[in-house]
Amino acid sequence: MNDENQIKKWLESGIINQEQAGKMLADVNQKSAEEKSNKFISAISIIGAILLGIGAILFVGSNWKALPNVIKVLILLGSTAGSTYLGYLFKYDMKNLPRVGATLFFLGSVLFGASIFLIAQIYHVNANAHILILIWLIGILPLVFAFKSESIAALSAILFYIWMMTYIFRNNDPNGYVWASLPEIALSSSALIFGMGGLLYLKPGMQKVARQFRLASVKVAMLSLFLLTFKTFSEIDIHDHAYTLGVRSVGAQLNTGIMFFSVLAVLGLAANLTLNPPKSKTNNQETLLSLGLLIFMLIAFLFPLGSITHLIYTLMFIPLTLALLYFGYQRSDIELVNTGTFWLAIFILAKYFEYFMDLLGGSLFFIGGGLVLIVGGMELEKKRRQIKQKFSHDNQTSL
Amino acid sequence: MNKKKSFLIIGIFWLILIGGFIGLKEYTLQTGEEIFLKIIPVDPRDMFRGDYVVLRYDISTIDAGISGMKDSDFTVGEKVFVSMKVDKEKTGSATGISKQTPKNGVFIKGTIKNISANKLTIEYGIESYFVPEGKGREIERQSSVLNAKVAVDGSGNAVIKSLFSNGQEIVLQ
Repeated sequence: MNDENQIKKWLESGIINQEQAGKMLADVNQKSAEEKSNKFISAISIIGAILLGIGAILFVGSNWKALPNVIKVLILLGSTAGSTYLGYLFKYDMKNLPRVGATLFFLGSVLFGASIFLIAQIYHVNANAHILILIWLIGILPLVFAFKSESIAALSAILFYIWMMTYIFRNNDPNGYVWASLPEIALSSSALIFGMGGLLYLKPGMQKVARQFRLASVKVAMLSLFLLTFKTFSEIDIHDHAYTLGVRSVGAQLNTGIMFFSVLAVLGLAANLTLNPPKSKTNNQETLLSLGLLIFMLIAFLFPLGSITHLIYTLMFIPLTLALLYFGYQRSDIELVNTGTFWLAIFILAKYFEYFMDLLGGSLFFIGGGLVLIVGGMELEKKRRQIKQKFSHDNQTSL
Repeated sequence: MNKKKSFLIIGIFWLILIGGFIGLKEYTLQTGEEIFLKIIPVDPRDMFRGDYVVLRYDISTIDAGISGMKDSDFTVGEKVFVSMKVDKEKTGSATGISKQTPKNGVFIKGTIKNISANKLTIEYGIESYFVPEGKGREIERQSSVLNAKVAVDGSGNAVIKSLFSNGQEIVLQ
């Protein structure tokens, strides 16, 4: 659309004639059709890769005794090698099918994880062993740096969160109360990934990977913050509860984990402040906001503030969401705007349910809620489209 | 470094990671001493989580005073070594606990998971036994006298070989 408008403007101002405009429009339409076809191919191959990945995981999960273990391992390792190699060929070597290649490359990294879990299953390694996730993560990180793969970067960010939580909880009963501290752990590690991800901008060619890490950290941070607006997550006193149960050192283990990640996060964020790796005008504001959030979380975790904690998180959530929208607007980054819009909508909906469910009668509650959702949704979508259209005219550095 | 070289190096790295993982476990299986560990019955609803069996052993909970120590001498997450006495039926039972590798005898390495009222709950990495989908209930229906045949190597690493019910190996198809 942007190109078509530009061509029309040139035609109107006499820079080009009708014949030239016609040829340029034909090229634009062809390019647009090609892009649509590429997107369709990408979607199909991604769905295919997801299905294959799920199939591999189910294959491992079914623990099918009909096949000897050696054959199972060879099938999975062969699939891993084949998928990764074909992905490399299509995207990086022959470059004839880059999108399919990228998908196969990603599938290879998922199958690598499935292979590790299969081997762990064969040797009856403990099901919740954090070391398995760590091996998977260590295995795929070189792909992120050597091939600058965004999809594998996103996968490695998710694996880091999973590993970090299984590591911190390695000596705890997963059914116990300690799960309530998950948002705080996720928040400190999000600050870490945000800071460390930012430093990747310093390495040439890593901008897109850095962006993936930072986007992942923002999304997980927003989810964590949202959960902390509820008393269940923000007001459980880990230390008192630990002593009540007669369980020593549980608090110490959580403390150590959160403090360790927080210290690393502070170092990463400080480096971002000093170096401004993304070379962005909003970098300092984003970094200071992340630091402020991290510090508040640490204070609330180490020195429980009691019944006001969830209120403070609630009061922080809206400005933080608006800050996300502001940064998205400043950077012309539709993904940030979408994330901010999404969480604003979820937050309003959740708080509406929490505060008004008992106050209003049943029918009033649902009528009011429905109206808010419809009108709010229409307004948000209108605004989002306006912003997206505006961004399509700009080509600024994004997160 | 060009992409082809990077790809080859990463491929070799993956082989090392996977080969190393398999190698460590196979080393324990092939060179380790076989012993039987008595499995303590647990709540059946917790024991069989879908496709794997959660195992708790006689030696999963040990009195901190077994070697003249107190529970305050240990911390959660600490690595310990449990010395074992192996009887004529090759069943192992705990005789001591230490923080350093014992110089002789059969011993198994574990991590302290919980400390409560002078009892140490220890995890040895052999608390999961994977079964084919839907077969967990078959084990549950059998006699509660279960033993696990475990290989323990010279460093105290353990790998489960199979489960036994009333002296008979449980074979699942």
